[in-house]
Amino acid sequence: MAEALAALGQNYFFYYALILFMVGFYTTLSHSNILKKIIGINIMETSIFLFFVALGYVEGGQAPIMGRGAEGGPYMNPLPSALILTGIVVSVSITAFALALMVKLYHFYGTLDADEIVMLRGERQ
Amino acid sequence: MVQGVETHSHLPGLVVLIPIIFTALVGIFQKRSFLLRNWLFISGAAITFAGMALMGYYVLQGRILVINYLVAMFPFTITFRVDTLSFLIGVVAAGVWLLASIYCLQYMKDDHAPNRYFPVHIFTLAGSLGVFLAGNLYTFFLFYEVMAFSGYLFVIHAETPEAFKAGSRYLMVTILSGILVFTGVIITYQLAGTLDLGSLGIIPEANVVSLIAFVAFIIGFGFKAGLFPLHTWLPAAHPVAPSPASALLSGILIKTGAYGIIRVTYNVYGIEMMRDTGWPTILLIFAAITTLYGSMAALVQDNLKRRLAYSSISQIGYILMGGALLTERGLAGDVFHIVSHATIKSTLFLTAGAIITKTGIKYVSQMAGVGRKMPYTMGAFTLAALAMIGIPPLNGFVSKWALALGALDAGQPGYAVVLLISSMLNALYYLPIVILAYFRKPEEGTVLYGDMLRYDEARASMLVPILILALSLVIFNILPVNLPLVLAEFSARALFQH
Amino acid sequence: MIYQLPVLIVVQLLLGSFLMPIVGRIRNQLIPHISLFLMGLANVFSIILLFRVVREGNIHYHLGNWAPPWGIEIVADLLGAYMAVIITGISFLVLVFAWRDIQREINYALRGWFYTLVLLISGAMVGMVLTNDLFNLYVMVEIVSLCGPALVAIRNNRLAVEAGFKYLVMIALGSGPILFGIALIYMITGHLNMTFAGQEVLNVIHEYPRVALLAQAFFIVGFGVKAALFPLHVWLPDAYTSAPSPSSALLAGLAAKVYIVGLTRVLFNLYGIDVLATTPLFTILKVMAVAGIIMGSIMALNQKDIKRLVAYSSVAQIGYIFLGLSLATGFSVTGAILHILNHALIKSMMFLCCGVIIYQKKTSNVDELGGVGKEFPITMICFGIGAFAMVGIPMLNGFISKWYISLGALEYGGLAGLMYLLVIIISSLLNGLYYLPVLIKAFLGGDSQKETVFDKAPITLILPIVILAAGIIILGLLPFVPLQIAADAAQHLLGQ
Repeated sequence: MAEALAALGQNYFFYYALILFMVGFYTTLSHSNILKKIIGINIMETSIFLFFVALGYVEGGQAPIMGRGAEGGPYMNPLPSALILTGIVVSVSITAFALALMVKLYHFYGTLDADEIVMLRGERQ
Repeated sequence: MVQGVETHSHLPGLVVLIPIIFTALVGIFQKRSFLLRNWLFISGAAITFAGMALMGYYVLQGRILVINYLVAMFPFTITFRVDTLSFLIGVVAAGVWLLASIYCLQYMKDDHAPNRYFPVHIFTLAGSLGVFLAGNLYTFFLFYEVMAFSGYLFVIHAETPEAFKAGSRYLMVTILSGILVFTGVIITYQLAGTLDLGSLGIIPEANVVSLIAFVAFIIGFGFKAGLFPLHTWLPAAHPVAPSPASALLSGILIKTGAYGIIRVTYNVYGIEMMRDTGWPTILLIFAAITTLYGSMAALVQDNLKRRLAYSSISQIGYILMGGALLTERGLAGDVFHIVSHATIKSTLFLTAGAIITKTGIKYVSQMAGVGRKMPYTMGAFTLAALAMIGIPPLNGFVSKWALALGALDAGQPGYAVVLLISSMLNALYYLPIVILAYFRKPEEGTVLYGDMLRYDEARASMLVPILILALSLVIFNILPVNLPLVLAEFSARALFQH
Repeated sequence: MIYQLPVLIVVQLLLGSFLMPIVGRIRNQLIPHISLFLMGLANVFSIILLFRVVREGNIHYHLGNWAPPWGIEIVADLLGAYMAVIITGISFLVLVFAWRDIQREINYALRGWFYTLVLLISGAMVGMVLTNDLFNLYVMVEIVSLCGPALVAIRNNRLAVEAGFKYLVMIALGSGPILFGIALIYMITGHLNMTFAGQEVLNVIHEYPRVALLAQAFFIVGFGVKAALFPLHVWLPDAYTSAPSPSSALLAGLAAKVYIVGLTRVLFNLYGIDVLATTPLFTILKVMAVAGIIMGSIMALNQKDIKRLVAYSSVAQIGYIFLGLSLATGFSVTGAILHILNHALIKSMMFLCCGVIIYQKKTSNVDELGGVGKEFPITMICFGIGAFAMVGIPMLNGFISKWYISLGALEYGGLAGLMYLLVIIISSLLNGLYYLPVLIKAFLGGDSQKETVFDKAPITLILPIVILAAGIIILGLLPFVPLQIAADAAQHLLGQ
C-alpha cells in the first residue's frame, strides 16, 4: 500500500495528465456547444503537453543551455520540450481551423448548438 | 484409345480467346453494316467450333491438351486442360452455339437492342468454353463468373418488367452461386495446396471442413444447374429470354453447374473419398426429387417455354443422379445425357422460338393446328419430344439406358424406377403438344396470321439449324459406332481410373 | 540527388504546396500546371525510389545526417516505396481530374487552395509511409488530418462545412490519443525511433506492462478514428458525401489507407507480433472489423445517394483490412496489405466516377441515374469494374486480396476461421446487392430507345478513371508485384 502510494506520489503528474485528458475528452463529447467542444479538445491536448514536458523534468536540473551552468550538474531533457513546441503548433492550427469552421457554421445555421445543427441539416435534406 | 499423354498446345487458349476477339470485332463493326456484323458473328462461332473440332484430332489419339498461362502467378494461373470429357462437352457446346448463332440472325431481325445481344451472345461462348476447358479451379471459377454475369444480359434482354424481375432473381442466384463456389475453391486450396483439376482427388482427407466445401460446391453449382429447391430462377428466366438465348441457357449454361459437380466429385474429391464418405447420397436424393418435381411441374404449365424449362429441371435431375451414383456406367450415362440434353433442349427451344416468331403463339393451349402450318418445325419438335421421352434409337433413349444400368450397378434400382416414372411423365406433357399441333383444328381467332395456309414455315436460316440439331438426335445413334457414347464412356473410365 | 530521394519527394510536395498561394498571387492560371508538374515529378521520383528499393533493399536516410537514435530516420522499404508510388500516382490522376472538375464543385476563388491542400496532403502521406520516427509520424498524421476536413469544407456549403467540422472534431479527438501513446512509449523506452523503441519495448515490457498496454489502446483509438474503423466511422459518410469528388477520392482512397499503414507500422514495429498476441488487441480489432464489415455493407444497402453508398462501402472495406491484420496469419496480413493497395485504386476510381456522374447529371441520387450507362458508357463501365472488383470477381484486383484474406481466415483455423470466412462471403454478397442495382439502373433503366453515345465529359475527367480501371484489371490478372510486396511486408511484420 505504502509502496503504491509512494509510486503514486512519484508519478502524480502522470495521473494528473490522465485526469485532465479525460476531462477534455468528456467535454468534447458531452457538450453540444461547438465552442465548448473546441475548448475540450484544447484541454485534452494541453494535458498531453503537460505530460510530455513533465517527462523531461529532472529534479533540480538546469536548463540545457551552454554557458548557463548546465555543464557538470544535472540538466533537463530538452527533447520533450522541443517536441511539444511542434505539438503546440499542431494544436493551435487545429483550434484555429475549428474556430474558422465554427464561424462558417454560425453563418450557415445561425446557431452554435451541434444538436440543433444536425436537426437543421436533416430538415434541409 | 490410350489414356492421357499430356501435350502442350495453345489451341484451348485460342478457342477461348477467339470469341472474346470477335466480341470486340462485332461490337466495333456492328454500327457500320449489318452484313459485316452478321458475317463476323457467324464466323466467330464457326472458327471457335472449328478450333474445338480440331482438338478432337488430338483427343481421339488419347492425348490431353494442357496449357498454362501466367505460371508465376500461382495460384492464379490460367490453365486449360482438354481431356475427353472437356472435349466432348466443349465441342457440343460450340456446335450448338454455332447453330443458335445462325438461327438468331433471323430471330433478332425484328427484336430490339440487337447491338447488345450479338456481342453478349458470342461473349458468353467464351465464358462457357472457358468453364468446360478449365484445367484448374481458379480458371474454372473465373470463366464461371464471366459466363454467369453475361448470361444476365440474356435474361433481361426483353427489358420488360417480368424480364427484370426474372433478371434480379437470376442475378441473386448468380452472386450466391459465385460466392459459394468461391468458398469451395478457397477451402480446397487451403486443404490441398493446389487447384489443379488434372488428378483424381486432391483433397487429402475427409473432415468437417472438406464437407463444408463439398456442400458449398453442391449448393453453388446446384443453383446454376437448377437443382431442387434452388431452381426457382430457371422457369422465370426462360420464358422471358429470347429463344436462342433460352436454348443456350437450358442447353449449355445450366450444364456448367452439372459439369462443375462432376469435376468436383471426381477430380477434386476423388471417387474413393466419395465412396467412403457417402456424401453424394445427399445429392442423389435431391437429384431424384428434382427429376420428379420438374416433370410434375411441367405437366401443369401452359406457357410452352415454361414447360420446357421445367422439363430442363427434371433432366438436370437425371444428369446429377448419374454423377452421384458413383458407378462408371452411371457416369457415362450422365456425360452422355449432358450431350444429348444439350441437343434435345436446344432443338425444342429453337422450334418454340420459330413458332413464337411465326405465329405469336406462346401457350400450349393455342397450338392446335401449328403442325400443319409448320410441318418441318413441328416435325423437329416431335422428334426432340420423342427423344426426351426416350424412344429408341434417339439419343435420349441411349442416355436413359446407360443411366438405368448405372443405377442397377450401384445397387439402387429405386433410381431406375424414378427414371421410368419421369419418362412416363415426359410422355404425358410432351405428347399432348404434338397431338394438339397435328390433329386438332385451331379454334377461331387463335392463329394470329397466315390463317391455315398449308405451308408457312419459318425462314430457312431458322429452319436449317433446327433440322441439323434434330438430325443429330438420330444420326449418331444409328451409325455403327456411336461416337458421343464412346467418348462419354471413355471419359467416365478416365475418371474412375487409378 | 538520387540519394536524397526519400526526403526529396516529401519536401518538394510540401514546399510546392506553400508555393501555390504565391503563384496564385502572380498568375492564378498557373496553379494547376505547376502542381501537376510537381506531382508528376514526385511520382517519377517515387518510381525511381521503388526501383532502387527493389534492387538494393531498404534505404535508410538520416535527416540532417544525424544518425539514429538522435536524428530523424526515414526508411524506404518495399511497402513504403510502393505506397509512395500509389499515393503520388493517384494524387496525380486526381489532379488531372480536378483540372476541369474542381471549378464546378467549389468556388473559383478557392481553387488555388484546393491545389495547395492536395499537394500538402500527398506530401504528408508520403512522409507518413516513409518515416521511421514516431514524432515525425505524428506530425505527418496531423498534417493529413488537418488537410482532410479542409478538403471537405472547401466546398463551402452548409452540408460540407458541417461534415468538415464533425470530421475535424473526430480527428482532433484521435490526435490526442496518438500523441499520448507516443509520450508513453517515449517514457518507457526513451526513444522515438521506431526500430530502437521497438527493441527497448521488449526489454521493458515486463517492467511496465500496463503502460505498454495503455499506449497500445491509445494508438488503436487514435488511428482507428482517423481510419474510420467501425464504430469510430461516424464522420465518414457525411464527409465523403459532401466533399468535392476529387477530395473524396483522395480521402477515401488514400488517407484512410495511409493511417492503417501507420497503425500497422507502429503496432508491429514497436511491440512485435509476440507481445501483441498476448494482449486482447487482436480480439478487439476482430470484433470491430467484423462489425464494420457487416454494418457497413448493410448501411450501404439502403442509400439513395451514390457517393454515400460508396462511402459506406468504404467502412466495410476498412473492416476487411482490419480483419486481415487482426487474424495475424501470414496469408491474412498479406491479404490485408494487398487490400490496402488494391482498395486505394478501386475506391479512388469509384469516387471519381461519382464525380463524372455529378459533373454531367448534376445529381447524385441513385433513382435519377436511369440510363446513364447509355449517356456515358465509359464511366459506368469503369464504375462496374470497380463494383465487380469489390464483389470479388476473378481477374480484378479485389478478388486477389479477398482470396488472401479468406485464405488467412482458413489458416486461422477452427470454427472461428470458418465464421470469418462466412463474414467475408456474406459481405461479398451484400456488396453485390448494393452495387448491382445501380449498374442495372444505369445500363438498362431509363429510356430504352435511347442510342448509346460516347461520354461527352472532357477527356481529363475520363482519362484518370480509365487508367485506374486498367490498373484494377492489370493488377487483378498479374498481381505479381503487389503480391510480392505484400507478402514481404507481412513476413517482416510477423517477424518470420
